[in-house]
Amino acid sequence: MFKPVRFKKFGVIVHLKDLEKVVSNLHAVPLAEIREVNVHERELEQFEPNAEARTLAYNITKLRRSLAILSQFRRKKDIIEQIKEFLFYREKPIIRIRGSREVKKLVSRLEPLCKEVEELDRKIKAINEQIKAIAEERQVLESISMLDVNLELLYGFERIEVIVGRAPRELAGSIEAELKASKAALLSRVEDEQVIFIASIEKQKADELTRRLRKLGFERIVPPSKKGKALELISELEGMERKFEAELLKLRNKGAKMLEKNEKLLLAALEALEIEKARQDALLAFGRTENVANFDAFVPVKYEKEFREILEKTTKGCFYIEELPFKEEEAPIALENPGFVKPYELIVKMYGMPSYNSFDPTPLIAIAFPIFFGLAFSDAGYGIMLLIFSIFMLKTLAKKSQAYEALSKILLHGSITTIIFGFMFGSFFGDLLGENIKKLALLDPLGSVQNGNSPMIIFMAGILALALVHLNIGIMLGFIEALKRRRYKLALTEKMPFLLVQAGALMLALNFSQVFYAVGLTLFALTAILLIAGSGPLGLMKITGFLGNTLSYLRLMALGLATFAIAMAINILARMLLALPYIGVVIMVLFLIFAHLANFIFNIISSFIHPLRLHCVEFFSYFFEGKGKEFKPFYAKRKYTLEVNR
Amino acid sequence: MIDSALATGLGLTIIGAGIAIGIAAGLSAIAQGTAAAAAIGGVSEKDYSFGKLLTLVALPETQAIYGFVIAIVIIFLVALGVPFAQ
Repeated sequence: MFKPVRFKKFGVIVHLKDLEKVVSNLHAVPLAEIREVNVHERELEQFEPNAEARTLAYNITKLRRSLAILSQFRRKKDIIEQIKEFLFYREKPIIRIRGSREVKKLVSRLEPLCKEVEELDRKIKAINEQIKAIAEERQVLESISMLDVNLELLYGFERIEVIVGRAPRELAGSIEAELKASKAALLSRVEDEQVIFIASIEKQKADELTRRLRKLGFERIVPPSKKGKALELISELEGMERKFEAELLKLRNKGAKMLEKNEKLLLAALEALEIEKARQDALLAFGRTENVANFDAFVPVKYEKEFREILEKTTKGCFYIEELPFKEEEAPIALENPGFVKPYELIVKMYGMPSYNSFDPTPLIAIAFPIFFGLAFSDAGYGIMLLIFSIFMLKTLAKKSQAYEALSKILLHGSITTIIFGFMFGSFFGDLLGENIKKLALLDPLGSVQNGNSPMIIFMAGILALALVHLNIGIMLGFIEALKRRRYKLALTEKMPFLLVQAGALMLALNFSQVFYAVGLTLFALTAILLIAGSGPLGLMKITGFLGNTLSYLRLMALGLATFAIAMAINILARMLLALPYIGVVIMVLFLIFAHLANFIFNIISSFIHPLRLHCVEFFSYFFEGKGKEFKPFYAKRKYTLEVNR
Repeated sequence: MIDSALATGLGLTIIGAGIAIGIAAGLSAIAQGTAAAAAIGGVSEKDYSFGKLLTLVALPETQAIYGFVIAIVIIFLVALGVPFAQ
């Protein structure tokens, strides 16, 4: 807590005969992040990609392709099934795998399936091509279907070419004139939505005439070289299309059955191959000599013993390990926080990891975020709804991934503060309980002015005080961080002025005596000098920036009031609906449910985003950079397979 | 019976507060729309940037908050009877 996990960097040398086992045993547990060895510096050779790696890559591509083809035939799930799948975690079927030889066996078992899938894909593509050709031919025939002409009369002449085409009505006159001028014989002219022309001309003049007609807006249609009338051919094509569609359906059903039967196996084989490939790829970061291999790894200090044990067991003690020095920016970053704080690592990761030697802000977020969330929501009724919703999420969605689990817990904490602030400000679904709940409230922000004090101004002052506490924690952390890193100028000119200006303002506000006044003005002057010394005259803008950041926290008040105001508007409208004869009660209840549900959903989103923003934009800007690189252990995550008895 | 000058003053206060929050919120909404459109593009290309872009989208809202604060201050200072002219 408060600092990222401590790491050690190790340089390890193992014999080449043990290398495969060392790599696969390290890959089975998330202990170490492998780093590339500088082979030139250590006078080593690099591992070259071998034939096995190429075969693995080929097989991965093949299986991925088969899976992608078969996935097209997946049965569409209805909405209930989709919701169930989204909400509930289902154990994935697991295939037990014993070493890389069994992976090879599994792949060769799937070889015929991959061929069958390819064949199925080829057939489907061929049928789709035919259906497309039929559709195109049908389109042509439909465009000339009103011509009561046998198609064999439109082609096959020795000296004459028949030109068929269409044009918009308004262009028909100029086309007819052109046909006449070119001495073409107009055989037929049918008017429909457009004008269809059939004309004949000597073969050698046909191309030239078509070109001229096209310029006039004529679109030539090439009828299929078939016998019979267009309408007869269309019905013939329809029959063919139906036949192909049926065939296609049969093939798709076959694909769906293949997917259902083999998906589990394909996914398992793919996962096993990808893990093998990752192990092969890891070697590219290693250095080697004729007999030994060398690699560097970052290991969390608390896992050092396990790391050494794995090497000891795998190599039967035949290895060399040395702790290496490393620079701060080299180190991977992992966060480690206790249960209550852990979910808020999600927010830190969203922004960026802290540097290795800097402060981990997660515990501070774990305190401030639920408070801000509660202030922005501040309605006991919605808080109870959120409590139920977050418990439901914890029982369902949270089991699917760590991110969902963290989100569910953040909402759970937020729901508790929402209930507390809701009662504190007298809001239960707005004013649904009337004035009764207001009597319990500590402060009614919309209440009337009493003894010259406006509750709204008190509320506002409270939020601003909270903002100053929060921002000052950030400034102090930034100040300490800068001192620790011996960046004294940064501490004095970028952090200190914010503290001085506040002290100065406090002195002026108290104004007990001339001394207070003089000290206040001196502190202001000192602030200005430090800011100008740090960033030039524009540095003074940082004070307005600080003021803006402080005022920005008032969004919590605005959101809290908005929740209440919208809920109150819903209640007023609902009371008006009650006046409707007979069905008034039913409509009022339905309206209340849907409108409050909508307000609840909108407010969850905004009550989450705004505290998030206050942390990422206002709070972090004073101390947190988020430039660390997350710890990525060399680890085979398995979803569909289980490695046994290695 | 409310004094007519007081009523006019109260009306003008409410209008002033309305203008303060109305213009600030309206323009901030336009800016937020632009930012959100750009962020959607960003997220579709690099989904890991969702967290950072989400906060950037919320940035233009600060101006609406300023408008809101001014509106609240106008209304409640009038309610407290603090004359602005002095």
